[in-house]
Amino acid sequence: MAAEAVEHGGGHGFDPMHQFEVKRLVSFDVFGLDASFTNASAFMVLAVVLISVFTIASMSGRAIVPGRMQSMAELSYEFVAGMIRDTVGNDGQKYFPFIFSLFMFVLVSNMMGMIPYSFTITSHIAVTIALALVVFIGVTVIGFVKHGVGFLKFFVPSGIPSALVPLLVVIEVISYLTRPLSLSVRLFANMMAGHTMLKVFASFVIGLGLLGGWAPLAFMVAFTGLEILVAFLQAYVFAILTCIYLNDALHMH
Amino acid sequence: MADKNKRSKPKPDPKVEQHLKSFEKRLDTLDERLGRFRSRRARAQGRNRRGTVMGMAFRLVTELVAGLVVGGFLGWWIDKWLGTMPLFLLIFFVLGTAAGILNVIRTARSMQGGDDDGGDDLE
Repeated sequence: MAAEAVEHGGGHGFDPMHQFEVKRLVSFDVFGLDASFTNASAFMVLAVVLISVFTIASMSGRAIVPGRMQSMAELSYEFVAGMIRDTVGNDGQKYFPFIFSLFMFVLVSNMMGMIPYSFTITSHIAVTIALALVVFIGVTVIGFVKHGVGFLKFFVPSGIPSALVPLLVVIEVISYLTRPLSLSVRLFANMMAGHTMLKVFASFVIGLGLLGGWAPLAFMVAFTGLEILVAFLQAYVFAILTCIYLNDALHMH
Repeated sequence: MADKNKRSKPKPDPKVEQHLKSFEKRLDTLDERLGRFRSRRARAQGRNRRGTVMGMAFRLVTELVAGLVVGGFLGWWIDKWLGTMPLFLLIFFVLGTAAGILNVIRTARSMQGGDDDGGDDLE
């Protein structure tokens, strides 16, 4: 690393991936499993605390004419409620608490990651795949509870010659199994790529100095704006795909 | 202005009339401002849609690669279980590719069909 840093002329050891490092804050060992409280865990707790404080404190007034904070809370509520109504329909409202928590958690994690020196939880595939697996397993269980064994018909496409059915069922099952992977990889890769890019361009600003550093600096300002958009968009995509999967399980299109 | 109103409609209270007039004026300016805001937002939305072309491409690639990875992994797992090393890996790799392409087709279709919806939802 040191040799590379000298080669870059960047001075101190520069590593764009350093920001993703997980550090142990408090070490725990549960029956041989490493369950330490890390900086990732700390930021997850912080996200949950922020969301709870935001929703509980802003709604505590219960004013008929909402103030600023209450408007924001109501806006996020209506945003998610509208999303569920549009994609799942009215019987999806039952699952509102779950989707709202999921959306807010991903959104707040992404946005917290935009603050310098903070840690982006969603840039770790371990976190995103855990969220995606909760969605995937939950939705599959809902499908089987709702339709019983009939849910398996979901994997049999209609209107094809019966000789092709076994082949297509296998393909459909694989396609179903890719859901958690594509869901988690999309969120993780977007967050990680964006943050790495920011770090790399930040190093250009230092590397080119007072004379040439302005161009990458201007780019970074624009790119930070784009990253905030991506942070919101990815939270939205995660939530809406959850809604779409839920709709598949409830209504079996 | 208030005088003119009084002459044309002598009955209502001049104070109320004046109040109504100013209210209408305020409503007009609000409409004007709203219109300006809406057109600005429409322009910004157009820009966003162009910006998310990369996002779309990324989504499609993820779907395809996810199909390959899941298919390959399933094949490898069955092979390890049955001890028939390259057989199922190859079969499921091909099936995974098919599943990936199926996913890409579905995602692309939802992108085309739900383009207007998706744009509106983003507000």
